This record gives sequence, C-alpha cells and structure tokens, in this order.
Amino acid sequence: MADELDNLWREFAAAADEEDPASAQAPARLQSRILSRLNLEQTKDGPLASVSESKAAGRELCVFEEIMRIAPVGEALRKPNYCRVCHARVLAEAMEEAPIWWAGCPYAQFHKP
Amino acid sequence: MIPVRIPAPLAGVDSHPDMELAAAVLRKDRKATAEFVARYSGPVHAFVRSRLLPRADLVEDLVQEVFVAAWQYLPGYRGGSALGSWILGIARHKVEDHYRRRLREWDQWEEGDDAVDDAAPPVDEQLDRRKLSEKARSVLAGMPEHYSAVLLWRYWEDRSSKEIAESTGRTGKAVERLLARARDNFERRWRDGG
Repeated sequence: MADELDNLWREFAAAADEEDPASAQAPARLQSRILSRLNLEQTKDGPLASVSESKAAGRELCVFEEIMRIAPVGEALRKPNYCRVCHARVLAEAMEEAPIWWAGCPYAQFHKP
Repeated sequence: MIPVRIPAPLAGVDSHPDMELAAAVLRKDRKATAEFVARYSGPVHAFVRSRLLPRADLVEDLVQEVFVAAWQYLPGYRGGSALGSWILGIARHKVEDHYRRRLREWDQWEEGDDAVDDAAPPVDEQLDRRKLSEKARSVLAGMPEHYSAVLLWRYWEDRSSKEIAESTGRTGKAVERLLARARDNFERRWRDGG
C-alpha cells in the first residue's frame, strides 16, 4: 500500500513537472550577473583571453574591444576585462530592460527581446 | 577554488560543439563565456525555480552558484554527456544541498499529528499537463517550506526516504511521518484550489 502510494505520487510529480516554456530564458538581469560573476572568477588566477584571440575564434567584439584590438598596444592591454568599467554592464545587471544596444556586447545580447 | 587547467581531451582539436564551447570557456574567452551563460542559464533557472518553491527569493543566488561551480568543475568535463545535462546535474546537486539544509534546520520533526491520512495524489481532475504543472507549482509555492522541500526531494527528484533520512540525519520513520503530513497538506491545498 505504501509503495503503491509512493508510485502514484511519483507519477503525479512526473506529470506535473512539465517545464513552463515561458521560463526557457533566464531574466536578462540574472544572465548579466552570472556573466560578470564568471568573469570575476576567471580573472582570479590570471587575465581573460585577449580580445584578439576572441576575434580570431570568430567571435564578435564590441566597439571598445575592437578599438583595443586594432590599437598599437601590447597584447597585455587586450586582456583586461573592460566590461568591469563599462556602463552597459552596470545597466544590464540592474535593469530587466536595459537601454543598451551595442553590437558585440554580450550584455546587450542578453537584453534583446 | 579548484585550479583551472585545460585537460588533455579539451586541449586538442575536438569537433563536438559542447567540447569546443567548454574548451573556449576554459581558455577564458569572454565571448564564449557569454555564450555559455546565454545557452544554459534558461534551463538551469527554470529547473532551480521549479525545485525551490516556495523560496523564489533564493533562486537567482542558487543559479549563480551553479554557474560558479560549473566553472570550477569544467576542467573535469569530458563530453560524456551534453554540456546542458552536465550543468543540470550540478544544479540538481545544489538543489539537494538546499533541501538538506532546510530539513536539517527544521526543528519540529517530532511535533505534529502523526495520525494523518495517507493522502493519494490529486488525480480526480481532468487537467492537461500544463495546467497540472501550473497548479502543482501554485500549491507547492503556498506550502510551508519543509513540506514542499520533502515532497520535491522525494517525488520530483525521486530520492528514497532512506536517502533523505541519511542526508538529514533523521530516521526513515521520521521522514515518512513528515512525508505523510506533507502529502496531506498538499492534497488539502489542492482541493482548496491551490
């Protein structure tokens, strides 16, 4: 009897566990915070990969990163996490519909409807 | 913090897209990391949200914890499963840690009426899966946290009473009593309309 009841409840839970399609995307604010947190974790033991490496891997850079990529500076200056000092990140972490539209900006991408 | 090293299988050329993304994240490619977040934060968020009822306030912190743990364990990812399943596995562990903490903190294990009816799940209504899911979420969200935690852990996460007892340092009988009260509470709330 107890096993039967357990099975019924398990079946009920499985039936009631359908994912809500509306929740398939995490809130943009949360995505932004996760990215910032991961970038912080990643820089604990050394810098991020340079923006040149990202570009070489076929990834789109934002306008500021692109400037750093083509500027006549050493590779070390292409590695800092420039998002830390960018207003787009601040807005993206604070607002659900942040007014940021930079091409190549992951924070703007999170906020695209 | 687990030191981050690129393991041999990730360092070489691998055409598996999940392995490529994992390797790029481990190389600290900022854009790959953003793609990793964009791709998996939705499923992780949906899963954690459904399992933490009624504690919606804890969902975002736990989701962040999942991603930090994923970064720490990523060097061990070998592509044996899809990256999405792998990170949901981490989320599952984090959710179980939450249940464990909540039930360990709860101090009224020995109180309450033991003579509750063994309530069967409410199956007398003709609801489609979507509505059933919505109503179940609504009922779980309104329940005392220790009841929802033990029900979600036992039936949604399919852990045995014995496993729950071992995790919480309680007896199997105590867990069964709590489950009986939780089932009864769920069933009554369901009848009341969630």
